[in-house]
Amino acid sequence: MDRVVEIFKKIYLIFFLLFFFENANSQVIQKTLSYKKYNVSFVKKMTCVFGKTVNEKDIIQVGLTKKGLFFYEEPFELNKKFNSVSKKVFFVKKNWLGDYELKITDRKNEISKITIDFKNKKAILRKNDGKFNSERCY
Amino acid sequence: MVKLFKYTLCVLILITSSLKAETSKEFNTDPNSAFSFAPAPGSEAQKFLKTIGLKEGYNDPKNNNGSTIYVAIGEGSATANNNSQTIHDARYNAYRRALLQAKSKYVQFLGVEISTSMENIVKENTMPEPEQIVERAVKKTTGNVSEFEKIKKLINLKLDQALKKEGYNKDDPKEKKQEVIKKVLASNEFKSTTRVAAQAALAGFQTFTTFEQSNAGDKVFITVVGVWSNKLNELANAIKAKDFNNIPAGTPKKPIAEQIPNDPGVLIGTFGAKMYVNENGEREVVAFGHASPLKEGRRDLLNNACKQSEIKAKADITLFVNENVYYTSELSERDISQDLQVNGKEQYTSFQGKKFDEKIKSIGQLNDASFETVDTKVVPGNSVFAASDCISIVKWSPSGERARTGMKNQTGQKNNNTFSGNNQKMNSRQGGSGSRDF
Repeated sequence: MDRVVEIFKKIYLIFFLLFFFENANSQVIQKTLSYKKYNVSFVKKMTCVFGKTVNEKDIIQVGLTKKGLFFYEEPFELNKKFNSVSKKVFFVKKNWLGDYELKITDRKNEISKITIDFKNKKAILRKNDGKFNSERCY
Repeated sequence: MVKLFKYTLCVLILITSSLKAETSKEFNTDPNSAFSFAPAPGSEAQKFLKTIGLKEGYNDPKNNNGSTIYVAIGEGSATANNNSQTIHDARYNAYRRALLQAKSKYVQFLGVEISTSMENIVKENTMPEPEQIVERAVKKTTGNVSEFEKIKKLINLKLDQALKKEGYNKDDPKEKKQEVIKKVLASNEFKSTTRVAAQAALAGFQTFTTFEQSNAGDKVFITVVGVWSNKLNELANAIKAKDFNNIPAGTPKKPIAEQIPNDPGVLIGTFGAKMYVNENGEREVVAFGHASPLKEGRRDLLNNACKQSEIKAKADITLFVNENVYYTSELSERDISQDLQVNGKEQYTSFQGKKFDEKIKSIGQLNDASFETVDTKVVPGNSVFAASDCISIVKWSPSGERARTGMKNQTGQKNNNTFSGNNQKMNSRQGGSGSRDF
């Protein structure tokens, strides 16, 4: 009788451990939160690299579409708040110099501003950790 | 009392005026004193376009004798220094890079597909070290030591197989094993991606002119003004279809040989395929290829360079006639936070990063076409560039095509390759531009 109990104990233990490792404590949740597709034509498009430190760079890609929309991650209207797919809020306006001023409020409510000069291929990035001139725009 | 009032008033005025002065100094809003312009890349090209009444981008047919014109500016820099023997190949590649960039602008003007997505990946793993789990569980269920060892071995074997999938190897050093477990402890990754993709078949996109900057000690920087028009498109399509009756006629000009830049300073900076109108009002495509010899002073190596420059010129005509341009870019943003257990202590780390990939690809094809070598010129090494530059000028013309058709069954055709040296000194400047009858 004891022998049978021992065998059942072993079987129980093996099943318990296998179940434990496969399900109990490890989990990966992968969610595709949103996805959007657009068909646009660019009148102007610019990619700028900002050197925040020697090792840290920031890259932005901005543009103007044929329909007069501004492009940053997604095409959107000027002078109007836009909620992006990446859960940021964009607002862009044209200043009196002809440059575009883009305000980005990210998911953590941190604000950054980018001034874009398409004509002279320059941009300025202002973030809470400082002001950075574009190293190069192309 | 009056004196005291006057004194107080004076003091107040003084304080106010000094404050005002400081305020105006601090918040100077006069825009003219705060900004100035520095020369930007492509500004020479912009100036040039202004002088001929065109602008970068779409140009209305109303202002251009009914011709739809699109102008794009691209920039590229040479990878070799001016004193390098391969400088002219590097300059030519810089030109190609710049032209490709200009073409990618045009392709994106025609239409792109943008997809933007957002993902959140959460990983949690509060699992302790596997060995500890086994020991704890086995000790609970069995008191017998030998049985305990047997079961532990069996379970460990099962565990090892399962954990191997996670990158865990039991034979690894303890630190490495802990690293693997550390990685899956807890992480929250936010990822957003923007993809831009465009593809278009181009016919009739040509190099209008090039600008070359070469400051002492700096690498050569080339700006290309590329142009596409409906007339150029018709010409390219006619070459492709071998239907020469549909090529729009132009205003007769001088013979092509007389229109080609004769100044070595201009010729050295003239690249790629351009449309010219000949003395009969026929449109021809003339291309300028460049290559430098492997070594100076060797006629055989110079000859090889000239062969290469001829191939490059022919390739440029091919790309003018029939080309497919593909553009893709992907900008990914990642925001990752991780909870780690390092030496028994919990640690929190986070990082934000961006990744950008851009690819422009172009493929050209032209079957059964006839090219004529107009001229081959050599600009020897000078104070600006150490190496000689062999420039091959190749053209496609309707008359050449007609002659070829007539001679198709004949053999023993003559190659009119010519070779002439040039000892003039070179200055970097604007390259030649073809006909302006777009």
